[in-house]
Amino acid sequence: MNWINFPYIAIPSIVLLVISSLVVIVPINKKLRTIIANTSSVLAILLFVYFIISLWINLDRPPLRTLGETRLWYAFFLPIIGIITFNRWKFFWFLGYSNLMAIVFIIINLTHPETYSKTLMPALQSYWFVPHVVVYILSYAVFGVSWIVSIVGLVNFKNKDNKKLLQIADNIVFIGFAFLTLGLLFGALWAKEAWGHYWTWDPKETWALLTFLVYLIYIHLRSFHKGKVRIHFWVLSISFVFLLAAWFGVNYMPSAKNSVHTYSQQE
Amino acid sequence: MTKKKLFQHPWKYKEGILISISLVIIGLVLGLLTKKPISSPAFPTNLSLIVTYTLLLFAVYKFEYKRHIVQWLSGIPAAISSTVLFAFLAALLGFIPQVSTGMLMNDSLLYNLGLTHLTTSWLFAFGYIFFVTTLGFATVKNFMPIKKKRIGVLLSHIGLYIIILAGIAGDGDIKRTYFILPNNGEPTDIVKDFNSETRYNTPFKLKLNKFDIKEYNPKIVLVDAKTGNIIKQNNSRNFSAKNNAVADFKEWKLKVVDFLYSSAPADSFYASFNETDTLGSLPSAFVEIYDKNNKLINKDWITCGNFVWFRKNIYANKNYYFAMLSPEPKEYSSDVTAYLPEGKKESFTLKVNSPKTIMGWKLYQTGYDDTKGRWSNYSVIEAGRDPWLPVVFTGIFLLIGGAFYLFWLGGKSLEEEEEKESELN
Repeated sequence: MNWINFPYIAIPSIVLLVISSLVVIVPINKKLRTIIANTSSVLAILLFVYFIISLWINLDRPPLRTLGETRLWYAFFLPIIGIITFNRWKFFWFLGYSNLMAIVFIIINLTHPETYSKTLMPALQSYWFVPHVVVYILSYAVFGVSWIVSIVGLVNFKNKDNKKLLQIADNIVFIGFAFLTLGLLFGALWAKEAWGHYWTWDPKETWALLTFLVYLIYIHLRSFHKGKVRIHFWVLSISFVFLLAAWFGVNYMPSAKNSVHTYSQQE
Repeated sequence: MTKKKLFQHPWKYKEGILISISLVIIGLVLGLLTKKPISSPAFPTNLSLIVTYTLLLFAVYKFEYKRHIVQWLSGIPAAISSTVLFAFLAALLGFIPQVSTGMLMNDSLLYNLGLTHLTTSWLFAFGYIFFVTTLGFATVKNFMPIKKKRIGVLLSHIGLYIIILAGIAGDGDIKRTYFILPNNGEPTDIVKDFNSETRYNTPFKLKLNKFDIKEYNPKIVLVDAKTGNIIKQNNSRNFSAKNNAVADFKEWKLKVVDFLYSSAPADSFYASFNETDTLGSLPSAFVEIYDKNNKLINKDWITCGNFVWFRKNIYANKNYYFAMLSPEPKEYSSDVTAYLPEGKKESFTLKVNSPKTIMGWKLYQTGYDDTKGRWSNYSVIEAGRDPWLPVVFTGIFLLIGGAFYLFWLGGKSLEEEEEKESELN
């Protein structure tokens, strides 16, 4: 298989991923729904396994070099993580989100086959690129949801259900924190390969650590002081501000002028 | 019930905050008094410190658990206080630009307080010790006894404990140095430290056989002639030069008629370019500019310029011109030979993201003379040594294990019956 054959893989897998994401709104019983979601996701993933392997054989090298190939791996990993998380935690929205992201990457590959939308500098050309970015995409998405939950909790504070709401938030935060930790650690392992050291207190690293620490504080607060619901909603919503600072804010801070992470400032 | 007085047992958050503030003040004052960055101890001091400290934590926890201070330090209020302090230090690091220790010489207040080199300041050291202590006690607590249900918690704590202890210990032993290898130079064992510029000798010699660089086609941009700023437009921001490429910029259309990847001016007026591969040759393009009505308004050769040739732009009108940017590197690599003791040799290629280990030194392709781009006559190779790396990586893998467990657990330990409610559809 080659990129020319990609539509034969891409279109069926888009259809399968759409089915897997939308089956939730069809009024059928829960068991059947789960079976359909699982089957279609697994089929889509298998199509990608087949395409990646045959492309690999065809190219005679791992398809990890170009941006298009990178997107292929996103489209492969996102549904896997989506379906695992779904089976474990029954989050339909998460399955839908990861499938949607995968579909976006597939469509970009269909419409812009192998073109460079941006030049990829050598430090980014690594097999760590995909796992590092994929887990961060997911963790940020999950924390985004937890932030919405915290705002809902703060706005409807009088509501009796907010303890339940906080439990949902905990569940989401744990998952997001697991991905965040993986992202941070994959980043460290990658940095060792690319820049010679796993930790250099680069501003982006510092802010990623700070995000890690504030969610760590939330988790510890929640584990041991269950009663103080309002404070917890506040901590959770403020944590997200740190996340946003780490994500977008760093490039604008005085400390960023020496950052190796500000790829956009080349000119 | 009377209200608990400050520092009356059991301690809680107020005490944690007070201890944190005291540590900050002591750290700042010590910084002001000494006015010098501190450095992490090297081998074997760091190893014995770590081992002693860890054993001490175990012993104190085991035999002195009844003491309130031990209970407090291994409890949540202390854990949260120390994490808040550590996060505060990280925030300082995140806001204040840091200077590498080799370049420290100014006498500003920020410098004297240790805030421009925070990771080597007393302030950081105190915050760090507080954090490591509470983390250490929490780890020990999970060890005595080990409970199957809390194995993920144990993995996370011990992983983080190992990472940050070994990380700091490694800081004392780490060597980050670089070779500057000239084209066709003699084998050399002289390296310089990245920070202090101190010279060292490696136990092997290194020689550059060939430095190779591949570049992306250069971008062409529209520039405001008054300010010199690049006009950013969504559809043409990443317009790369290649034959017959067309793009819209503001009210103009730019067409690349002829693109030469490696060329030189054919005459001293830069009126035309020839394809060549001689020293200093560079990309050039013959472009045409059309206005809104598709009328040709200007055409000429443009080039990005380099250390041999001048830059040449083309004007769209008196306020705007098109310019070619210097090409960005796509991939660069060095073919090198390492000369080991006893006459052994080993040749290999170093590339960004694919280092190579020789006699415990990890070698990286780091840079080249970027003013000369592909005509660089030297290659910069980083040579790094970090004997603590395996320890740090052990910690990293333990923490990764903990993260997977956390994902699987999803906060289930907090509330048992939450699975039913977790459908957020």
